[in-house]
Amino acid sequence: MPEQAIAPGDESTLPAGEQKSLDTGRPDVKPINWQAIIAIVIAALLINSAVAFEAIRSYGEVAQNRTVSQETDTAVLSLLAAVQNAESGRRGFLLTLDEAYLEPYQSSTSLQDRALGVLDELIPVGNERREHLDRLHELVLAKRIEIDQTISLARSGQMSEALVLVRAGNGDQLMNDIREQIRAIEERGLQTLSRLNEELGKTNAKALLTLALSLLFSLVLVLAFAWLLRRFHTESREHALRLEAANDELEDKVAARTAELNSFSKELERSNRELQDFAYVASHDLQEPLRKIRAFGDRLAVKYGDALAGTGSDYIRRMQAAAERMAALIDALLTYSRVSTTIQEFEPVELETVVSDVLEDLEVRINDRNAQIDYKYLPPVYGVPVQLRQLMQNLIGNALKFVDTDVRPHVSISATTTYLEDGETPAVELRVKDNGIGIDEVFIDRIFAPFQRLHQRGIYEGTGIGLAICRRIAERHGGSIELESRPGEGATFIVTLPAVPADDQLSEGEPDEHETVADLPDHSVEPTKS
Amino acid sequence: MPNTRKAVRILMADDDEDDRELCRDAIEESRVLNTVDFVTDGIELLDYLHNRGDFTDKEKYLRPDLILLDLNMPRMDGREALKEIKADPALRRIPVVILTTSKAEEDLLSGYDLGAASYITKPVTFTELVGLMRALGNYWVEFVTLPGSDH
Repeated sequence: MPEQAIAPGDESTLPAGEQKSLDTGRPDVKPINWQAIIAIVIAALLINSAVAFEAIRSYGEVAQNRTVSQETDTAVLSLLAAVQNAESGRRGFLLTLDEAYLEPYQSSTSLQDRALGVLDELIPVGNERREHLDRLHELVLAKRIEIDQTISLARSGQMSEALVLVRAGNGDQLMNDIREQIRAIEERGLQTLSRLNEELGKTNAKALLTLALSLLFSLVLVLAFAWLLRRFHTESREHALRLEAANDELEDKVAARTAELNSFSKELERSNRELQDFAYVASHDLQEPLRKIRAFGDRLAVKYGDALAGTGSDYIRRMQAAAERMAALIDALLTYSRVSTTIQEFEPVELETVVSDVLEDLEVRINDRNAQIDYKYLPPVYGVPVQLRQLMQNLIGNALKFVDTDVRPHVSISATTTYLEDGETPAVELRVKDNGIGIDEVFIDRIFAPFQRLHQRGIYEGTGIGLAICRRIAERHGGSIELESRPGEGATFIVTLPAVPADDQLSEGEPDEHETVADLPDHSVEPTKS
Repeated sequence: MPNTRKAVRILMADDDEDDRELCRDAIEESRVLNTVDFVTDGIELLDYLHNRGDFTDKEKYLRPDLILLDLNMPRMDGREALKEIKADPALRRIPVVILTTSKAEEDLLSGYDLGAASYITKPVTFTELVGLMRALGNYWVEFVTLPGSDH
């Protein structure tokens, strides 16, 4: 059973190992942990610095101690010399009683004090030599007292007592003790020095080792960095290559898609053009036979009208009327399809001229209906002159047409500046307002479709294509046409057309409508009295 | 209206038989224009003018004083024929009146560009056609001085 228990465990570790080898097989997958590397480098540098700092501190300490111990030696020796001078001075005086021998003794006192003072400074409290120094101090003072005693006795004539004191050997003993203490201090100093030397040797070795290690470590770091940089560089290059490849692929895809769209759009354009050409050719070719029907019908009526009975003449008349109407329809269809088939450059068009020309054309109808037509300053627009004229003709004609016979038609045309649907192309918004019969909201969309009529043919003449042509013209110019109306309250057609772009202004300075609109005359067309 | 004026030779190019008949009738009715001949396309028109092909008889097919030209014809249409006539130094002084059903602006403009003397859209009714022929006769016969064939 344990075998079985182990077996799955072995199996489970196998895929993990494979996984690992797979990972290492792709160097780009394993990310470089820069934070860890920087931490390691900083730690190594800190350790190196600490070791170097410690070595320098150690050197400093040893050097300081060496100086101290040398100074100590000097002070101790001068102290000993001073004490010995005092001793030999006393001896000279005791032998000769000559005061001159006391001079070295007297000067030695201050030398002793100075040496002791120096030692007091050099050997701090708590040092192991301090004990010896304190003892030395006492001994030196004791020696001085002993010498003073003998000298005082000799001066007062008690020479024998003085000699007894000297012979007693107390002074020699003190001298020996002093030497003992001095030797002890010197020994201790030497010990310290040798210990320091030993320490210095150790520090030296340690510093050398640290330096070697630092060097090695730095070398490894530099190599590691070089390797990492190389790897990073290779990786980024590979990455860039892959990115480039992906970009190329994407570009190809986009190009393919664009080509597809282009061909589709061309296909659409072609079929659209074909349709328009068809409409144009069809209506054009329809006109021919129709014209002949009318011409021969006319001949029939003129040449044989008398021979036909009343009903025959009536049939011919009705046939002619139907043919005439069909001609009008074909004509309208031809105009409608020609709006799109005509390829003409846009140019600046003075709307005021267009409107006044149209009003001239409509003069008969205006006079018949006793209509009043007002228009305020109309800015120039950018488009095809013939089509814009057609547009205005249809709109004004429409406004005159759909007015009850007992109402005097009143059409007013005004314009404001606006933008096209893209929100940035400057445009002119034209409003053609009438006081006609109006139209129910639900029919508004229908009236812009070709051959849509809202009234029986007998009531209002026309083919029903006029507004469809208007919409087609407006849209071909990038603009739009809308209608605001209610039954019995007249109608307002709102047409948006592009304004003249700044780089294609009319040669004569075009007035700024905001500044000069008040100065411009309002136009009002009244029927001419005849 | 008495016809005491000099004869003006008219050559009409139209592929439509009905139109040719209507025009012939209208010219007769107008009683102004008298000599009219017909061809049915541009090639025939040029053959007639150059006395080639079926029109080699120079006595019968005289140089016309005025050409009435339809635009849409088979084989060679009116535009091409007009271009060739105006490119030929021997023919270019003959006035060409375009008589067509087309109301297209490009046809109108290109017609005049190519050197047509007038551009007329075919009238719809016969009465109008008679009126047109009368007006044409009055204008080209009464008022206009045409360059003769010997010029």
